[in-house]
Amino acid sequence: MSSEQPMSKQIAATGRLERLATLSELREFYEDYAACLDEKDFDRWPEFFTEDARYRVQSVENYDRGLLHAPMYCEGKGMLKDRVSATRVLVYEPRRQRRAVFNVRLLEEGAVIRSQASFIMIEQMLDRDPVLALTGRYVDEIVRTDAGFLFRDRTAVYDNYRIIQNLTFPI
Amino acid sequence: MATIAQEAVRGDSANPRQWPSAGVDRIPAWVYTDPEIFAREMALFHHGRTWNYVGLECEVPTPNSWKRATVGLKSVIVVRDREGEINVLENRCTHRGAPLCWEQSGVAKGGFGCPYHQWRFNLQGDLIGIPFQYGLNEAGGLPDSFDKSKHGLTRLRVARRGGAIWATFDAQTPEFSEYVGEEMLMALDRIDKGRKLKLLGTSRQVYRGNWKMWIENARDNYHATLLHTFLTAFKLVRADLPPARNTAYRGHTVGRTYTRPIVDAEQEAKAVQEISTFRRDYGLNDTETVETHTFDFPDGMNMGFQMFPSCMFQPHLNVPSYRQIVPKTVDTHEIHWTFFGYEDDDADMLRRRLKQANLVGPAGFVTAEDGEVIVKSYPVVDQTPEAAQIVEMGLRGPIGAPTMLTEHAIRNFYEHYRQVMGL
Repeated sequence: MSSEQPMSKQIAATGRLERLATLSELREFYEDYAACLDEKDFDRWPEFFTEDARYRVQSVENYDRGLLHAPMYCEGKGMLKDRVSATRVLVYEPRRQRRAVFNVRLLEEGAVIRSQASFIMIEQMLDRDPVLALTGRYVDEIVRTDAGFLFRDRTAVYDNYRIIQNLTFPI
Repeated sequence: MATIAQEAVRGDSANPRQWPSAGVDRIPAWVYTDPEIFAREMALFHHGRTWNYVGLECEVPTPNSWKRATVGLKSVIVVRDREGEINVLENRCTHRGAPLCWEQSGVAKGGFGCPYHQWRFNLQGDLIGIPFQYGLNEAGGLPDSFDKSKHGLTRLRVARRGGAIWATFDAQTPEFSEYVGEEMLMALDRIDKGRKLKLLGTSRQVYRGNWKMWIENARDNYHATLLHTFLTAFKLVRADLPPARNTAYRGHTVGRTYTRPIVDAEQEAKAVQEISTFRRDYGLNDTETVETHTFDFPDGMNMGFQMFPSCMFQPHLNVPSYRQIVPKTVDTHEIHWTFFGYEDDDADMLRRRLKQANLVGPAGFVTAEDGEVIVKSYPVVDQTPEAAQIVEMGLRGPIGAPTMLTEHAIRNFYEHYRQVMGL
């Protein structure tokens, strides 16, 4: 960047670079989250959230109408841990999942980052073919801490008219 | 494996299906896999002389508001008219069979118009408008003999009870009160007596399996105390706890249970020896999901029911929900959950209801296990149509003694089933 550029342009360019840097960090955060769940590293999953975070998996029908019911509903890290500890005791068909996160959008930067991203989750039961089980978008509020980004509110808003079979692991 | 090879297994019309001679102590596997049986069930049950859940009153709160619902395999529109009455109309244009409503819900200003040829129906389902009915410039149009009054939408009969809306296709279905019986009327009235329901949301899921496998599962207290870690570990339902007081009537079942049963340590010690899923070391960080000290009813009980053919109301703790089992094909069915609270719920109660909903529904700590077992079982059931399932639990000792260790409610279902199906 030439030092003969006007100050305003330099400031604007810096702003753009900062924004790109945040977006890049955000993508990395989202992909790390997806990999954590794909790999079933469930003990690590609650660590993506603040202590009093809210986490929900909810249909777009309910979300758009402002209805509160969500099939997965967690208030606080305790409930997040309960969600994953249950996977060790419940009876369910063995499966693998693979998530793709894309169209990451940084909507607002500040003390709280507001962002969204699209997701798809492909699920493959042990004896059956892969199925595109869930599609939707994440609606997020993220804070910067010494430990990096943490979700203080994450809602996985799914487009599905119906869940295929069950939601066994977090999304 | 009990077989019924000697009894007629063939499903063709020359040799109709025959139930095993053991009666309802056995369920023949073809009942879950034969498409002709499925078609007959839909004709006799959901499309026939039964009452079916189509939604909550609070889902259509204002005049002109409507929602789509399903009765058996047929799409219906539930609409509140300008006088506040509820109409349930088949979602099928009488012209060429197109569905009128393509969205899930909406507001029908001026009635319903078909997207195809814009035939217009009012909120009662009367056909009130046909574009170019009289042609144009003396050409085209419908003949004078065409009588609009004969081509309104199919109207279902409607009943409103328990904060919900019920519908039937058949003019011969008994009146709602007679159909459900005294005990269920009491259970329904408990739901909305003196309180206004408040919709919290809906969820749906689809399972590969026959719809009746879910019906049976919900009537099967025997599995409840063995399969579900969340029920046994958190003392919600367990063989040593006071069992539900159940009544049966015309294929329905109504049960009354303690919202929060008291544990007897001696009984618990005996029972848990037989329950391999019982874990003393398993606990939750947030116990509000599985615990309550606030009861929705002064008697500290929850009353649940199953209305034949396929609607349930099964409250746990503080999370009531209507649960509709929606058959799709012989080997798939959906579950539609409608969660609600009450207008006068305080913040604490609302929070409890939302947290406890984690127990049920498409991510249910309890109910998801049922679905998983059904989906894993179905291919096996499908491959052994000559097999018969054993439902003899509860036949030991005095019949009707209160216990969870019984398949009594499943036998009741098939007694009624066989009667209506002529099997």
